[in-house]
Amino acid sequence: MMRLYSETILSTHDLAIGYAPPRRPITRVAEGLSVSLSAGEFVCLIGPNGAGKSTLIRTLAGMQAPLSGQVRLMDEDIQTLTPQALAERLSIVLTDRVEVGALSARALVALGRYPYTNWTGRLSSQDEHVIEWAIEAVGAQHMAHRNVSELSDGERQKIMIARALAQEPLLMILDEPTAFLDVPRRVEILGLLRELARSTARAILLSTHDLDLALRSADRIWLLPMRSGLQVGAPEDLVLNGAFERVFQSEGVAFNPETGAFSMSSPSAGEVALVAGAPAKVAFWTTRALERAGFQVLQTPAAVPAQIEIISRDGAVGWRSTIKDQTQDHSSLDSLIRYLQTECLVRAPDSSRS
Amino acid sequence: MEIKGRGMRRRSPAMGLMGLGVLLVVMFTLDLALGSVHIPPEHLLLILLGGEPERPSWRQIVLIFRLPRAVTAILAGAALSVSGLQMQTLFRNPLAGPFVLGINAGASLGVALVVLSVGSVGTPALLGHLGLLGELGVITAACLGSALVFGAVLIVSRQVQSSMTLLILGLMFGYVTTAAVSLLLYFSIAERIQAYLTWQCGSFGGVTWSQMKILAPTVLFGLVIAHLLVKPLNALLLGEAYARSMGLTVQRARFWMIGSVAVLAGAITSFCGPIGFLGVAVPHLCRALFNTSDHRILAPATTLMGASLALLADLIAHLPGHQMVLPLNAVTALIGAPVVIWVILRQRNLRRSFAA
Repeated sequence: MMRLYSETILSTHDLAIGYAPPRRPITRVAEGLSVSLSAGEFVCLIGPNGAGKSTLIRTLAGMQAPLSGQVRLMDEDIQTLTPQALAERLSIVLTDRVEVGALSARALVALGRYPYTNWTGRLSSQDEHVIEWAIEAVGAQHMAHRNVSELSDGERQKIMIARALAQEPLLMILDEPTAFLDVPRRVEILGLLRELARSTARAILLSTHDLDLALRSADRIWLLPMRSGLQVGAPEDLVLNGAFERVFQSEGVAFNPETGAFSMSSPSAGEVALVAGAPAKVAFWTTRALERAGFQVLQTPAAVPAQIEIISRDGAVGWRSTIKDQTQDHSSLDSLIRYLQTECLVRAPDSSRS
Repeated sequence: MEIKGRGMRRRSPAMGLMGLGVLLVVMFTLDLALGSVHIPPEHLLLILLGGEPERPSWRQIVLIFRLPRAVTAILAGAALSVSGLQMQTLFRNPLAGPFVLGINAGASLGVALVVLSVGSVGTPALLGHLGLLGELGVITAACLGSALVFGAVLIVSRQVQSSMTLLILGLMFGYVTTAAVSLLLYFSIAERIQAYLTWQCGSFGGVTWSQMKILAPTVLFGLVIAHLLVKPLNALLLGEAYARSMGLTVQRARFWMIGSVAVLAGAITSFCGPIGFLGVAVPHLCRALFNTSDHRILAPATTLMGASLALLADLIAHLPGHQMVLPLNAVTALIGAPVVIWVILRQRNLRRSFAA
């Protein structure tokens, strides 16, 4: 049994990844990669499209050879391990939906015992025990008997994770496992993986586009930018030192370190002041709605022509807009926004809009 | 790995396999008993046990004609069905069969070269020779032809990573050899074309007991290899990426699968001519009946089912009560095509089973 966080499972030093097809020029995707994974760590690999996340995942999983440097698993070069030896240490979950025909979910999980069974694939009682444990660990007991083709995408990915668990690896590598899943399923699966990493003292590495969930759940983030080196750190460290902002900059889209989310567009509709003192939740979503409509929300009411005040009437929340001297009450943010938009159109037809 | 499908069929697969075994015995008996001459079952048993039946000609008919034909049918049905199963799993393609790699096309080319080649030998002499030496010549030529194509496929499979590419190359090899054959046919005379086409129709009746000494061990060898591959075949159900991650050496498994199919399909085609449909239809039939994709069940199931269906085809081809013999390939197509249609229409998740 590994001691959490102290045993290094995977390490690389000055690794270069890319493609070297025969008779064609070499494509260097990234180089100088020196990373490590310890027991119990849950790491998310994130980065923009095309930065090389999949290449890195494939290289670390032994699916393709590095251009230079080594990937060391338990201090052995994975390129020197036999497929059997590698299978006992590392298992994978890929993005795509797997079509397996007439297999029950339990049978699919049982395939994870492949490295440990004899030539016929007969399951020992130990194998059955591991399979049961894996199914329970992902919470799939109620669907284990069902045909895989009948499962939803989320259920199917849980079964694929159970299969990877049943292989009893030291390290699990997942390549965008939540790509086709809805948000509740993504939350569930990332939470599940984080728990599993800790409770089973395994290292789990996954690549994802889900920035928000990755920031909330990962022990460490590996941030892979387009053309510069991989950055490793705690999620919050990478936000505070500006790494996130830099990596995800593009036209019209910016990562906002204040909110931890992307802002969709720069304000162009004008300025609005939100009067302080309202309940935090309502104030937060009112600001969101105003920013969505393109307004810049200020806290100082003085010099701003338009002011929004959140009021409470008989227990219901309402909004009062004061533009110049005209006051209007609104019962929903929808009507407030529409009103503001028409007012701005009427009052400032010559204001520049990008 | 016990892998079962939906729980609707609670009957255990062992029972199903025993049922298929019983079916095989029944088909075997019928194939021996029925034909242009009707032989009652009691006498049949007597003959098989070495005794003398009511009419001595019956003994001749059973032991010299029908028994080797029935045994060949069993070997052919088993060989082609198991080959089809492996090809469908390896290439994740429901229409794959034992001949996707062009092996029977190679055999056809070999035979075409022998039968259709323009030589100094006159027509009657050639046809006369087809009785004895010609037979052996045809078999050898077919063997060499399929071995040649198989060799080419093997060389290519070492260079090529993707099984899909291999499949397409195999098909192309098949097309090229078929084109060569049609060129030979174009420049041949009617009698030779007739002889070649007769070979093309396929027949289980052309194998003598002495030839059986080569055919039977070869097919048994291929069947054993195929059954040893059930675990890799199950791993390949998830696709090559996952199979590799579970410890399977995909290149080596592919080699043995293609090898066993080449031996099985090549041997059968050499001795019986190209026999279609069994290789494609029987695996689907077994998948539907047993409701599983587990090769631990499908390998023996396709062996038994394939043998039974081949016997059925042979039985129908020999039209009980008549002297005429129908071409075997026509019969297998008439049985096989409706089966495939039925399976496709009934199995809604056929597409789901085989997405590449």
